[in-house]
Amino acid sequence: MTRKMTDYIILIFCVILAVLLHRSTANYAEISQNSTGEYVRFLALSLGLLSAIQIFINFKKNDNTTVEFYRDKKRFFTLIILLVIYGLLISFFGFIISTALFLPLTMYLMGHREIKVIVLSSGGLLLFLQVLFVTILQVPLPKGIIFG
Amino acid sequence: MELDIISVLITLFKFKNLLAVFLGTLSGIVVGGIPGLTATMAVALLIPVTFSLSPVTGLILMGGVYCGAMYGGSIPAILLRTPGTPAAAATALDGYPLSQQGHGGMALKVSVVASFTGGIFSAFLLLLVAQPLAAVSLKFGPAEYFLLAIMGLAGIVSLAEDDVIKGLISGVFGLVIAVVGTDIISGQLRYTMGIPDLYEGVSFMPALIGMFSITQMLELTGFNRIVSEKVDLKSIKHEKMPKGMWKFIGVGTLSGTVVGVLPGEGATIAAFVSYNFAKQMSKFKERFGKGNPEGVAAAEAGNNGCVGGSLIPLLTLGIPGNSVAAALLGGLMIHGLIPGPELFTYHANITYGFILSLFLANIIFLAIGTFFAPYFSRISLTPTGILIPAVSMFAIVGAYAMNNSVFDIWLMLVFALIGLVLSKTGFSTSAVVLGMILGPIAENGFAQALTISDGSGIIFFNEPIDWILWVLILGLLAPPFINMVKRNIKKKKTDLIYSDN
Repeated sequence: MTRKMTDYIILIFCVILAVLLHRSTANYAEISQNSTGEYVRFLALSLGLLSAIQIFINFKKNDNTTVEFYRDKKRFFTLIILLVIYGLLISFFGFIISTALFLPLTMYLMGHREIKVIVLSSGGLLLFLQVLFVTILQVPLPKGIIFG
Repeated sequence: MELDIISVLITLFKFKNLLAVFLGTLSGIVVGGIPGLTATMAVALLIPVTFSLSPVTGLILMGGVYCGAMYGGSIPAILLRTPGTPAAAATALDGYPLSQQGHGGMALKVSVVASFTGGIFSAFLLLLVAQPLAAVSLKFGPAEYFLLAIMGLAGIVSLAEDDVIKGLISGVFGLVIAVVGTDIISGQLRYTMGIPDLYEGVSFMPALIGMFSITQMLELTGFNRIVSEKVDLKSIKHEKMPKGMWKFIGVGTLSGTVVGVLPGEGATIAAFVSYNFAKQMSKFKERFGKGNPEGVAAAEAGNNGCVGGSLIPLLTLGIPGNSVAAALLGGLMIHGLIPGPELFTYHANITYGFILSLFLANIIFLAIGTFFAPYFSRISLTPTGILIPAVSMFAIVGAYAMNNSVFDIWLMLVFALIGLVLSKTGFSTSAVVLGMILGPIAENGFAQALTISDGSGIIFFNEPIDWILWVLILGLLAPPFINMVKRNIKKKKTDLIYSDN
């Protein structure tokens, strides 16, 4: 996708957001109309106006450069999927089990093939986290629905 | 609680606090030395860790990270032309050519001494000037706080020279996100979509971690290692520091500290401003960019001078000088420490303990840097296959632990994707985050000011200080706009010449 096109998508989204934001203040309580309501209208106007100016600048600009969101498509989307699965696993199985699965799997899928290094670094990180966060600092880590 | 300097010193020299400053500085150097890991990210990740620590220990830990990271960024910048932090980009301009010429060891020495001097001077200034400034802050009303918040945003937006309008849009977008939650005047819920986790607003910490840390990890999926070059450690040891450096260290220290004080101005701009000053003053202007240690001295003194400077508006007015200071603001607030005069009266022992710890942090990185700098650069050779899962894990723990909320993990992931799209299209993620942080200050100030004035906007122009703030805001915004217009005119002229030909 060209830079110009992505810019238009974001800027049009901002304009729509500004319009909706401005209209939403009509539902604010009477007491807020001249204070926070006014503030939100000020933000909506600023966002809308600035986005319109940028759309005008882009319209005049001849920029055909493409936007590259990733260099390695496979690794990029693998990491996103793994992070989403990690988040879901944390909700169900808690932090320790999820992390014990996430670390070695991600290391392997990110291209690291030395099993010994994967096992040792995953174990080391998990141990470090357990000792630092739970034992020393007593930060509560998620236990998940099943074990919570 | 009034200031008791003896008890401050006793607290500071307790074993756990000395350990905190040492570990903080060491981990700051490591983080700063790894390109892609920023001081902001490290401080943000540390905030949940400081939950269970006493406020003074937590702040000392974060202060150590800040000081260490500012110095640590120069190591790969000099050895590998890969700035560990954006602020070290100016250091790489002359540091790397020096390494190429076999003077890497000397460049590292200049860097550590300059960083130390800049850091010590700015901490000293913080110690002397912060309290009087805090007294001035008492004169600030709601209207002035609104203008201060806008000035903070204007500062960071002004850095986006190429896309100043996009910088402004990013800042306003951050302010809009900060509107989600409970209306401070009526108590009405706004834009929460029925999600209880949003009743108190969008937590800025998951957003910060998502936008800075996970976005960077997604970026690194395209690389097998952060840096591919091999480092020759043997050639960079046992070189002496050249003479005549103090003049440039002094210039860098002064300009870095002053730039640091300005809300929104960061260490990167401080380093470049210092570098430019040094270039103007040097007898060897032509050697700048080709391996002049004067450039390394000024740039490093500049970015470390920014540390203490950026803490002055943070501690006195609650306006972060840059994104690291913004993360530190989060650290202050989770311990119930509200920036302003109370920090220097009621919480004086904590505040001064923190400020004095910055001196220790500087001494520690001087010692570490002098003896071990060449070895740190090896960390940047860590394969991304190991680095990405490790950093992602810490990011997820950091996002969760702030509110013990799994929702914040999802929030972090959403902001990571938003951050990726925005940064790839020339918008400023720093401005979005700063907007989210400054949003509540701006809204409170705006709403209270209009309530006081019965809806009249004149209140934002009533006091002389308001006019000063307006001039500063315009002063920050005008140069990038003028540059933008100049660039457009120049481009049109060039296009015209080409079309004539």
